[in-house]
Amino acid sequence: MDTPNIQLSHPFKILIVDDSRAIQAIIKRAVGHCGYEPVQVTTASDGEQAIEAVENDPPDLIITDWHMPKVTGLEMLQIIRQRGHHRARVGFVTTERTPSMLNEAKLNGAAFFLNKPFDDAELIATVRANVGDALRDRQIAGGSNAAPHILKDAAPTPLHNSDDPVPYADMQRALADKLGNLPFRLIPNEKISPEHMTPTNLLGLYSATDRKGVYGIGFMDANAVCIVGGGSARKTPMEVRAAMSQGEPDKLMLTKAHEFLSAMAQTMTKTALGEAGDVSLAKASIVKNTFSKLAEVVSQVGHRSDFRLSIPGYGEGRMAFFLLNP
Amino acid sequence: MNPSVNFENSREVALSLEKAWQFLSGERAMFDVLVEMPACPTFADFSVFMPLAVDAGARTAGVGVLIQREDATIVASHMFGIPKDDIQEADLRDACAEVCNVFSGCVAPNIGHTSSICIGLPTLASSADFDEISKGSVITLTYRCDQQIKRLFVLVYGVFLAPNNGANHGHP
Repeated sequence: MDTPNIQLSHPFKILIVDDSRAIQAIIKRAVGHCGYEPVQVTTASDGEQAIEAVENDPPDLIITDWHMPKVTGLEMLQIIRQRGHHRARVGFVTTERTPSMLNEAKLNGAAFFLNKPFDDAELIATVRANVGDALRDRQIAGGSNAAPHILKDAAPTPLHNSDDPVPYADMQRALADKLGNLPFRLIPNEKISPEHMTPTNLLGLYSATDRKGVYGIGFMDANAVCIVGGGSARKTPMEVRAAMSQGEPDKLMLTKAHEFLSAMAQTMTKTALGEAGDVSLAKASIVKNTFSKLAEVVSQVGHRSDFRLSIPGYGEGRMAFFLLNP
Repeated sequence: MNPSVNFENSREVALSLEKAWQFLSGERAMFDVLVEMPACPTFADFSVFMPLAVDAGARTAGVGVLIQREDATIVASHMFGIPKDDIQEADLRDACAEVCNVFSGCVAPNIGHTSSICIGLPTLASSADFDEISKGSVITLTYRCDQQIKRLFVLVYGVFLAPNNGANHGHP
């Protein structure tokens, strides 16, 4: 590769994450010719090791596989972002091609995707396009003028539709606030339907000062109540799983889930449809999935935000928020 | 025609396997599609299998890659960038697992008329595992490459039954 080297004041740190040592070797060889000097490359064999490596020595760029044992590339990306590591660019070199999966990674801030097989030049161009702006401050005067391209589309795509009552980023923040250091995975836009509901569910009714009647509804299935409530109360995975298997969150889990629904009121105050005045949780109660009004609500077409939430060791649950009177 | 395999794209898949093989081994190769007369290949030194969850796990399909030791050495040497004589057994297993992974990425989009395919992790099968897989699984398409030192097979399973003992994850 004849790319002129750009001298940096301190090393361009790259972390390669792949369970194949052979692929690590291929990527390592290629990025060694990325045109920056000096380059410091470290490797990790799965997402778990990568998280530890990021905590110890945050890299500038993480090049990761998707499918790995223990913690996948996507889970790793979500966890490091939740832990506040926003500076590192993360790119996937993977066999994964499913658009919905790639979109999920993009929603979590993935900078690029490169499918295997790839050629070295392709990888180098992708790396340069995605780190050029981040390394500009480190360039030593008098170095090469071969400035890297900046990927204009490196920013994540919008995380929500304009009429979402609860934007994805707000939900991420609210959960991080309640769950502390617990790593969680949040998947947006998976619409809950009557057949997904657990036998009992927590339903919150929101009122707004500028609206008559019920302004919005918050829905948490029993699993989500156990996860959010149990996570907020720092319950052990075993306690949470036991509650989930019986479909019966304990009193503390219910209290914490109630607090969570209450906290979500603030995010529902201002939507793209206009402000509704002060929104507050008027009432929250357990309802059975046979409650006819519930099926009607979850069948609503627009003005809704649906989420699937999972925490390693706990399990997964579903939540949705609806505006009835936007 | 078997509804679980998209035969129309099999030539396209063969071309992507050729590109993948060049990436992995540094050598050119041609893959033939055996549709009318599916081969029933025998166990190879490195028989690696990948489960593919179709339609959110409603069905498990799979990909099997059968590589003989000589070809495994060529691939490992190229991928690790070290001489063949320095290649260790673990390197061979690692490289062959990645061959299966990359080949699965080529095959998966054409495994059926669905957009929901979830690739798993490659597992290296023993001879006993191979027999178990052969008995419980259904091969719907076979790609064969005769240009290597030994024959290289890529098997596409419409129905894949993983061995009960949970064969080892390919990357050591």
